[in-house]
Amino acid sequence: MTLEQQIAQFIASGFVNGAIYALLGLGLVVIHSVTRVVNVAQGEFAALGALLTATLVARGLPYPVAIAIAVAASAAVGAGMHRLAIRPARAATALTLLIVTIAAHLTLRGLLLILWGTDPYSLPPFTAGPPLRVAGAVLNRQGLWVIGAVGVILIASYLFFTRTMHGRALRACAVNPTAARLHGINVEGMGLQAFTIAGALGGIAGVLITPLTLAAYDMGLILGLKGFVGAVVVGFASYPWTVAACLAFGVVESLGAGLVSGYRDAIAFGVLVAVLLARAIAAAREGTLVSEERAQE
Amino acid sequence: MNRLRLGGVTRSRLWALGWVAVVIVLPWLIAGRLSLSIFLFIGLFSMLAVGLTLLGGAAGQISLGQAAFYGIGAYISALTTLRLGLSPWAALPLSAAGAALVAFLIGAPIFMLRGHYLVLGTLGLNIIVDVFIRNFQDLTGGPTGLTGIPPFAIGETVLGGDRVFYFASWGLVALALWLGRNLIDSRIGRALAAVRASEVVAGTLAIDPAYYKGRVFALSAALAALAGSLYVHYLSFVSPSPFAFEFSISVLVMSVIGGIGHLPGAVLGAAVVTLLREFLRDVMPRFFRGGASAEYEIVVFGLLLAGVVVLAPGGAWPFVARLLRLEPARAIPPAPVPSGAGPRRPASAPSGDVLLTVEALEKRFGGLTAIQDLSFQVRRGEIYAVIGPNGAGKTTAFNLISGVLHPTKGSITLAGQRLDGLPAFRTAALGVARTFQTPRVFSELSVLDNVLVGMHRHLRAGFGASMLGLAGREEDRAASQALETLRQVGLADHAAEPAGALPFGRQRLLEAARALALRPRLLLLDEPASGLSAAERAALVTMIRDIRATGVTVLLVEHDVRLVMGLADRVLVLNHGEPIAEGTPAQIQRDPRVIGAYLGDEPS
Repeated sequence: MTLEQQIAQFIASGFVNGAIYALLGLGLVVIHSVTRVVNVAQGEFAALGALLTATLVARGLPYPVAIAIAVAASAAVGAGMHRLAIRPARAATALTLLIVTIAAHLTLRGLLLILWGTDPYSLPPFTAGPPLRVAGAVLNRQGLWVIGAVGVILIASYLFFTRTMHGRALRACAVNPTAARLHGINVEGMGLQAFTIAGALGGIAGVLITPLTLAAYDMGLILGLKGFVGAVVVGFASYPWTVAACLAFGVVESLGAGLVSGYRDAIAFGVLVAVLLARAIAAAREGTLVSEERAQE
Repeated sequence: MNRLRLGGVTRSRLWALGWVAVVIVLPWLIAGRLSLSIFLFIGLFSMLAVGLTLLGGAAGQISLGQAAFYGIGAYISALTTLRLGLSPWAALPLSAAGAALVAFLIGAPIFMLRGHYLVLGTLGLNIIVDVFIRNFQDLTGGPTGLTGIPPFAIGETVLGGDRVFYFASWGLVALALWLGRNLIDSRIGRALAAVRASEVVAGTLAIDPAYYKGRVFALSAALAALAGSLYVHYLSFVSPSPFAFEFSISVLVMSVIGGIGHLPGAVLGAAVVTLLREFLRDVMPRFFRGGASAEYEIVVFGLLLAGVVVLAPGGAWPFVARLLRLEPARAIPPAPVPSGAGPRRPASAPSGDVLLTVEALEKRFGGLTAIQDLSFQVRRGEIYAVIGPNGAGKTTAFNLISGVLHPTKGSITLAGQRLDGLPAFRTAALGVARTFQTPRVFSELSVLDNVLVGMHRHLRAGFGASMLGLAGREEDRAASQALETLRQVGLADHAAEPAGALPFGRQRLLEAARALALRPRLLLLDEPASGLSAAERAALVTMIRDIRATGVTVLLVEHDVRLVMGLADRVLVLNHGEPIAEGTPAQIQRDPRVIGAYLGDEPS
């Protein structure tokens, strides 16, 4: 393979990975913007969706049914996490809520381990067939499924957040919870919905990525961290830019890992530090609104 | 009250001595029955947990990188002794310094941002450290690790064995606890408490949040690295597996179970978690057959962590302290005898030269213009008021002058020095103090400590002196000055109360006292009269006049037009972000544009 072909290949697979990270990043942003919680357990939703789909498919359920059940289960776990862990501690500081999500990460990961063990699980691609050639790169069909599915989800969530009363209410909670409450929006209920949506997005991400890699009980943390990189780039502030940042990060990571093998996960951290540095410099230039800080506290 | 407190102190001293005695005799107590190494590990883990508790409790930050710093310390020790032939005695401080440097470099960008990026940044650090150790096989030995790490020795005598390392680790734990307690009880500890409560407010009191958070983070990393260094010289072997991310989580569980706000809780938590883990390793395999029985622990620790955070966020230490009838660790300092010589300056009338110049100031938030083309000058020693209807941009102007926000365009100059673009803590250090529209006192701290935080820039004690407890004399002098400042606003009788317990009006006074403690050249008061009763308003007017009489220039934003007209030397009227009139109160009251802005324009 020529170098150009290799690079085209890295970009294509990076784009596919980036699309997965985008789903996790979106979940993080939805939760953060409504509840101001950074959800360390976000990747566990993906692990659950992936493992459950693998098991259901192995038991002979049709693929679409298995996926629907798994995504619903992930969404339910998201909702359950809000109900059992976040809501009881809602009066606590941001620091405490963060520790709560770390606890949720541990508990969920442990439960996945008990239920599925340490073995990795595989899933067949959604559709069989030879890989396709796109601009010099070989793209397998599952990669196309990922990009297509993520595209549909993004359009659907864009419509949800801009065109429906529900989506607008969620955004209102994100901007100003007090004002939203005064307008009769149930902010607690919105937190529950944010966690449900994030759970579903995470579950879908897990289902999509499993045919490309494998599913294991401990896959969540790294996936979540990568979604986090994208969310940090835009300061948890914008849905479309989170997606763009995640896609860009996927490509950077893929190129980096292709050129220096063995350091894939270290690249994520390098990018994260670079992004934090850039944001710190920007913040030093702009100053911070008092009200912004209050929202964070 | 003094006697009670003394009683508390002696009681906690006694318990501390008792604890030291138990640690000392324990090796002989358990000899032949239990292995000492488990208690040695409790000591090592206590150091990791004390570091995290210091970071979490004092600076309000959580790190998931303690295992990484433990590993960095271990590998620096292993590599410098094996590859460079250094003595373990040199490797020990070197590993602490190396880890502190790594922490400092990672913390630098993270701490300039607010929010909780440190958790994910340190999570990433854990992963990167693991990846590098495993991949740089030539240097680190990869997954199999390194053997033959030399032990500590004095001359020809090798210091080895469980007992030596047991005492070494617990000696360092005691040292870490002592240094940490001194730090929390010092000027630095107060600055950290301020940062924890609100970085914006801390900034307006000349405290640079990133500086203090970064150094505490480095300190916590150094403690972890010391433990790591001891660990490799004890085992004479190192491999990457003990430094994995899971162990960072265990350290967090230790700190939280013990109580993240209490240093001794870290030791308690380390003991509970370590013993519980040993117990689980005995019990778990009976329930779960198969490979990863050790991995099942994480469920137990996850549930434990969630349970503690939700049900008893303070952790176990407060219960233990109540059981032992200990006084709270952070006792209110006794009221000192007033020195008599306060920080008062000779009274001076407006001297006429310009102190503050604001020129063509503009601030836009996205598409919204909050302030446009704002220019005015404040003369030294005058009371200058900015009034205007809601949304006129008054508070934004204050945020710009105090450095909380930075302007889109224009300049702010204080006595020849440009302020625009400076961070809030630098602006404050140049002598600009402010209050907030709703008072933002540090409610956990005592009234006196609130004022002491305001004196931050006038005190010298740094990290070293504070940790070694060498700042006593400066502290005493500062406390008596702070008391004098409290007397100025009439709160001296409440010095020992927690600030959060004060009624609203008094919180405003306390905030003013805290700002005055900065000994500012320019004092910004943001709606000082709102929410005050008529009597409190009258007292406020007197207080502001008194402040001016000490030579401080006062710039105030206010809604109460009558109060402003009776108090200010000159008044600026803002409307929709633009200045519409400036002059003496008498001139302003006649100005038709002002009347229009307040009462609505007459239809033309």
